Amino acid sequence: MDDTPIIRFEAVTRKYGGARDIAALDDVSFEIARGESVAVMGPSGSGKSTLLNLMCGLDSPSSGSIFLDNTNLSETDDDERTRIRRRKVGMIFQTFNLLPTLSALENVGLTLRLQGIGKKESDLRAQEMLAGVGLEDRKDHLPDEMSGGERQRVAIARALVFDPPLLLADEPTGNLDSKSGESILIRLKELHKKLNTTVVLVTHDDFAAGFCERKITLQDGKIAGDSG
Amino acid sequence: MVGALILVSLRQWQNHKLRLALTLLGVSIGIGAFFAVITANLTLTDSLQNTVEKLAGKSTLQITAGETGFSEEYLETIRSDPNIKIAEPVIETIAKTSKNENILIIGLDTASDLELHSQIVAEQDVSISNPMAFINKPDSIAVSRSFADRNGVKENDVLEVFVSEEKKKFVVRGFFKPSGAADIFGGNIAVLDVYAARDVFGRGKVFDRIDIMTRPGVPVEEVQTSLREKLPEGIRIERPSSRGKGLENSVSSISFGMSLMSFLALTIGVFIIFNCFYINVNQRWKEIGVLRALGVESGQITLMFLGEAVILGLFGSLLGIASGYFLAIGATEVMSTVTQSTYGLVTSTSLPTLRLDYILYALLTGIVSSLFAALVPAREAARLDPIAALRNIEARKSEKLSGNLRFFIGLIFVLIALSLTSFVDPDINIAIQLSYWFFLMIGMVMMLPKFIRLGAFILRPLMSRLFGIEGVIAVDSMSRAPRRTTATVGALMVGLSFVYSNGTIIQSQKAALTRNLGRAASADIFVTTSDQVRSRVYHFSEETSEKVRALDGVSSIGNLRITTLNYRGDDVAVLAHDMDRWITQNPDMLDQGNAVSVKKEMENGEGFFVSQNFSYRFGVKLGDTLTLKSPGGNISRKVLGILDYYQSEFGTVFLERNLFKKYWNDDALDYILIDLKPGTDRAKFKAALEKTIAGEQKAFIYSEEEYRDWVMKLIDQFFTLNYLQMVIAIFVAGLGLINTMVISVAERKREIGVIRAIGGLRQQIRKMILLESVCISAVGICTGILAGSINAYCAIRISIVAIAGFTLPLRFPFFLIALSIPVVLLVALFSAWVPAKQASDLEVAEAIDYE
Repeated sequence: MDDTPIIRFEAVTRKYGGARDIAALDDVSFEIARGESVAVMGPSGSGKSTLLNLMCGLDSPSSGSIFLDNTNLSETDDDERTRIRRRKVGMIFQTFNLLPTLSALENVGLTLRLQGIGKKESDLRAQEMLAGVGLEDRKDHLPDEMSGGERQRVAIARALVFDPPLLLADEPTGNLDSKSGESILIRLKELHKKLNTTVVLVTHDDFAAGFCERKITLQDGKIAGDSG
Repeated sequence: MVGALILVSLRQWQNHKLRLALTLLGVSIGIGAFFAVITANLTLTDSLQNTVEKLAGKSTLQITAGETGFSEEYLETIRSDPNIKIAEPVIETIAKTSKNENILIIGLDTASDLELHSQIVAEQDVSISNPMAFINKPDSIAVSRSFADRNGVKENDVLEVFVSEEKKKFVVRGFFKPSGAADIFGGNIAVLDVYAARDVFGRGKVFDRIDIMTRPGVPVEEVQTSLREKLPEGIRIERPSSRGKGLENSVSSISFGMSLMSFLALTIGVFIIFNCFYINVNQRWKEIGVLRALGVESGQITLMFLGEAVILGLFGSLLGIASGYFLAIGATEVMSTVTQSTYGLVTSTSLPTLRLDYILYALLTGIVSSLFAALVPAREAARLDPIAALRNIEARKSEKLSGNLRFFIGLIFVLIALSLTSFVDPDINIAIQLSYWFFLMIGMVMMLPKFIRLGAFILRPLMSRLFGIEGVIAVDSMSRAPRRTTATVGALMVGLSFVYSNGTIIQSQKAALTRNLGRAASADIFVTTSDQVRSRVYHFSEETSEKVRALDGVSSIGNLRITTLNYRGDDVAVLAHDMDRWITQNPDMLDQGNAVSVKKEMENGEGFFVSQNFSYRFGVKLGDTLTLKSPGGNISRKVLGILDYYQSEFGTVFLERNLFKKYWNDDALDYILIDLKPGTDRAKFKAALEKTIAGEQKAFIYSEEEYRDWVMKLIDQFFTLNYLQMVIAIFVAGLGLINTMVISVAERKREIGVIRAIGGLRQQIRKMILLESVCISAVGICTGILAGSINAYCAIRISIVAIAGFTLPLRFPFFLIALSIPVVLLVALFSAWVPAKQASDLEVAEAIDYE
């Protein structure tokens, strides 16, 4: 078994703006081991979203290095980062971000089809995944025909359908009522255990963070606390 | 409140410059094409009128008899009228200089004091160093000073000009400074003696025109009445201004075609403007919600958008007028060329007239079109639920456009358009007859959302199979926003339907002509005086025809004279055939009547044949007595046959050439039709013929096949403007596509960001956008074919009949349709190229957060 960390940040700084640079992340270093579940917490503007974007290669650091599954993202180009992301990172967003014209099944299979997997196989795998989140009977429904909780479960299925070693969730319960939110967190925890997927959950909700084994707290772009 | 809303609008424009630019471009293209065409159209008709008036000089009346002119004997009759102060004969012709420029050559009575024509040649401005030589030598010519200066022409230089490809040589023995007529052909004017001109240009004993100055104090109408009594009805006596107006009528079909083109450009422009405003509202949903939450009333929101429409309409129109003026230069040039080659009319156009009333008209049209296009989006914005807008941005996406009711209302409109084909009658106002177009287009636009859904339904599995998930997303994106897509598909549909129906008209016209040539114009060899339909100034003589008859291999000869005659206000074509030969060679030419059984009467000049469109337009039926007002008096004969013939949109009358000679006093020929004896080698005969005729006269000799090709080429030449219209339609539709794709990318930023975030490569995003454009175009092509087919059917059954009275067989332009598919798809790919790049270059993290 590979015991190298799935994520490693080495003195990462990310600045925005022109003349008056603002450091959204300032000289941050940490590691996340494989199979860990980590909650990234902090107030608005603390750098949580920046951290998440850097982690999955959507953004590049101003300085420092980021390793995702032993690959230095700082040394790859955009297309390469995208290829890494679609093989290794599942993403869940606060606003679900399902494609409104695709059915639940098509949304889940989208990542697979973007990877060039045929429709038949992607449908089969998406169907299994939907069953895994308890939505097999909703597979032909469009997003706007489903509740918020159901949409987020579709999003989870979409994120995990290709067995990524890393799952990033950005405030996954932010748009849900407390009951649906709790159900989503329970399902995430189950899947994390079952699949041994590393989960990084960005939240400012203590209740949600309580579902994770480790808690990293950000403050003004720096790590203010790390329970691990 | 108003100030705050203006600030909001200004900031929007400031922050969305691309959207602003596209909206302005949409308005300016629509208005630019519209302004160009109305300017060119009015410049042409103004120019026709001005030219006539300028050349008329101080004339108060002008005597004409169509293009054949009239016998010189009438000059004395006119001069004998005591109320006429001066009556001068005129010969007028357009020639080409060796530099291929037009030059107007006018034959005037140089022995007179030229008082009547001081507008052209004022006596004090004439410089002739040797007046005796000028008068005595028939090759003398005087040229305008400006022409001489520009071309370095000096006294006694030889001036070579080409009249219908035939070279004529003159010696420059005088110069003059044209005053009022100085701008005709940029001052390219030459004057020679009218009697010399008559000889040089082969007019025989006729004059083109007699210009008259009535005695001061005598009412012109009185002189007109007195002359009317003395001259045959076929001779026209008009004031120069009304003669100019009459010429406008001759070019009515070209003007009508141009007006249609401007209307098309404007219609497509309205689609583009609608699209821009709709997207404008759609992208500002949240802003509208905030404004409503802050207390802005729904009516004020409507006014804000309509106010923006007025301002954008105003500035877009100003840009359109500026660019339209430059377009008008080209359009005027094309129209003048067609007018000259097809109708033989002189125009003095140099630059299009920039008139304040046109500018105001275009401005008003631009503003009203923008307001019209912005009305629905502005009303939608006003009806927005502010709570929904603030809480759920996705709520705006539910568009209920594809309802069955809307579809069925659209269908009813289309059926109304089709039913109008049953109400074609020359007594019904042409505007009512042509209203089918509005019903058809409104109906099709109403049905479009359903067609788009249907298109998406068909395309989705196909695109999935061919292009994977990118194809599926492209189709979905097209069908998800029916309003955005409808405007673009609508613009494409209107443009393409116009292209296809135009193609149908051209194809049908060609098919009709082919049939017509086979039935009524058979000959082994055709000899013509011009490479245009015919020359108005240059003809063959009967002696030439006799020389041809004497050649070895000739079985029979048919002579044909073509001219025009005013019949109930229209210049109808008159074809004078040697009936014996014509009927013998074309026994099945008639659609009504039997040519063979009336051959004797026709040979004896006891009857007329008329074309189908003449019969339709003037209600003349088989057996009716038709009276023609010829220069030699009225001729009344029975109509003994009716045939399909497409010489003139005003109608054609056929008569025996001997009858024509008698009444027109004109034995000139425009065509010599030769039938060869069996076994004659055509190539050898053509060579012999060329040697016989071309040695002394310019002649164009065609075999039957070459003649058909030549006629088809002439048809293409006549339809130059239609081809231009097709290019404009595709260009404007392409612009609509660019607009839509840019907007589509802007609207779907977050979706694109999500696809990128979950692993979509840049190239996959590019592919998606390009495919979306292809899908929109595919639906546009299909609906364009549908609308174009219905439009073509209606055009053949209504427009062509109402405008020209022609009954054409319906021929769809399958080749054009097949050709247009890759062209439009390429335009679609090209149009989507930049938006696709924009989409693939999006900053993903930023796009995901985009609202």
